Amino acid sequence: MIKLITKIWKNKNGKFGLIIISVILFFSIFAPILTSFNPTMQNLNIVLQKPSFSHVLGTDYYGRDLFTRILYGSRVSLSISIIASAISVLFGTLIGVISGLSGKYTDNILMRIVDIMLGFPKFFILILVISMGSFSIFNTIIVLSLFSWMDTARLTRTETLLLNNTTFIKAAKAMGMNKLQIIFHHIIPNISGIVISSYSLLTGSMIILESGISFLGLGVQPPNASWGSILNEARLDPLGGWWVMLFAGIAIVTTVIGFNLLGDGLKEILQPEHYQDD
Amino acid sequence: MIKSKPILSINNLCVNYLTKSSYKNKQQYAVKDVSFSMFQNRSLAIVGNSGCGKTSIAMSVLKLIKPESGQVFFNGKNIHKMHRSELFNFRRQVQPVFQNPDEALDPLMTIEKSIRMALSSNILKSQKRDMIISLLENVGLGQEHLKKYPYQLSGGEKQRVCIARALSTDPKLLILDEPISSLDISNQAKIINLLKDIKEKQNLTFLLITHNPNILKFLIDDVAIMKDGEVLEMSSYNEMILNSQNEFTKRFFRNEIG
Repeated sequence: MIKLITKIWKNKNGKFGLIIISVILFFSIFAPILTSFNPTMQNLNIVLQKPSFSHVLGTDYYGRDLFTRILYGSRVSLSISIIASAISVLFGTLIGVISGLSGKYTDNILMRIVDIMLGFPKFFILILVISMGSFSIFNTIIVLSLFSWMDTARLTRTETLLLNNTTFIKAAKAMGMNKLQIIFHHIIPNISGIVISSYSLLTGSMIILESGISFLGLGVQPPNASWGSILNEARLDPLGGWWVMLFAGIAIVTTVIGFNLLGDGLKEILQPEHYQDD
Repeated sequence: MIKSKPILSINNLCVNYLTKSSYKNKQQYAVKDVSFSMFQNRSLAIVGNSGCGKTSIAMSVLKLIKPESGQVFFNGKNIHKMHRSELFNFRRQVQPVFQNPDEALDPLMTIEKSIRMALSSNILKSQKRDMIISLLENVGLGQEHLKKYPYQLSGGEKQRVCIARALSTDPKLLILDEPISSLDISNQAKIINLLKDIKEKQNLTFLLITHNPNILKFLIDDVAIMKDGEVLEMSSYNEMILNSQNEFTKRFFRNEIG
């Protein structure tokens, strides 16, 4: 882990991504220490105050400290996106590797399932599922994971197919290694670079999806905050309280950029020629 | 030629590949009805021009591709009808050295790990390292290579590692698929000498696949000449050089075909 972080640090994109994500995670985890305000407590005497020393990012329409709401909001946005992309990437990798290594029938069936799943508009299904029941972090994670594994499956299948034709896998088969040994010793290490980077990139897009749902009012319900719901509230008077929309937007954009940079950096450093032991 | 029980027999082997076009799928024969036998300590070279089906035979013998028809027997047992444990033993006794050493080693594995993977799981962990060092020394590489990755080695060094890995299973038959064709001249000579040494020291039998007639005299006893998926003739190397009447064979040995 320390070796990986050192390598990320040496990569320009990875370094910036890691700094951004670390700072955001730090703020998210230590939110109760970093602010003395309550994220849901209303104070109608200080409605829509501009950024000042007492309220660094100003206050919103109900007099709540915006900095506090963004900190607490990050917990919902990040936990949903991090967990949902982890499930999607793990499941997608499993399907991709099985598909790439198995014969044409299993491969065909799995890839047709992927095609069908890709046909579903996941944003609308997510809205449908949430509007049928009530919003819960669990429901959102399940729906996001169910409809986000296909790209990883396709990617890992292609990589597995390519790897399965390489001479070193032929040598492994000739040595008497079984399929499981080949998967764990050769395939997974060789596709881990693209899997980790696609995880990071997917987390970025999950944040946007989650914010979209909350923006439509279907996500976290008031008075709780998520970045999307803060944006939704800012919609009431975008010019009067411009800082609400601006800072919530910056939080989303910065986090997505952070994950994308980290993903790009990981893609570069997990190439074999950068992989060294010491 | 001393006739005993063959180590490897190939009977009526046919290998074909499906070529897909926009109109129809076409079966293309790479190997047509090939039969021959190999005996312990009599190494055989399958030679012929590019695309004549040499590598397809090697892949069939290694059970890495499924032939259309025909049988491959190793020590009298059909390799396509072996039980799991028999197949495992067969795989340990027949090892390949591939043409391109750059692709034959996992880029993410150190040399030590690449060879360790090939060693039997029955060997104690503490003994494995010593065995790896001795295998590397056998092929002229020192301990300093243990922790290196393939990209840190030259082509010749990689091929030596591939040979060490192949030897780690204590094989009886080594299948050398164009083992020197991707190396430069000086490395070619070194690898030929190494293979010659190993063959003598470890009592190995080689099945050499090559389109280069110049390396035959150093490594093999018998030659099979292939053209368009068929074996044109097969005899001992000396006999073929002296007595072959086949025009294709004569041209091949004059280096006119490659």
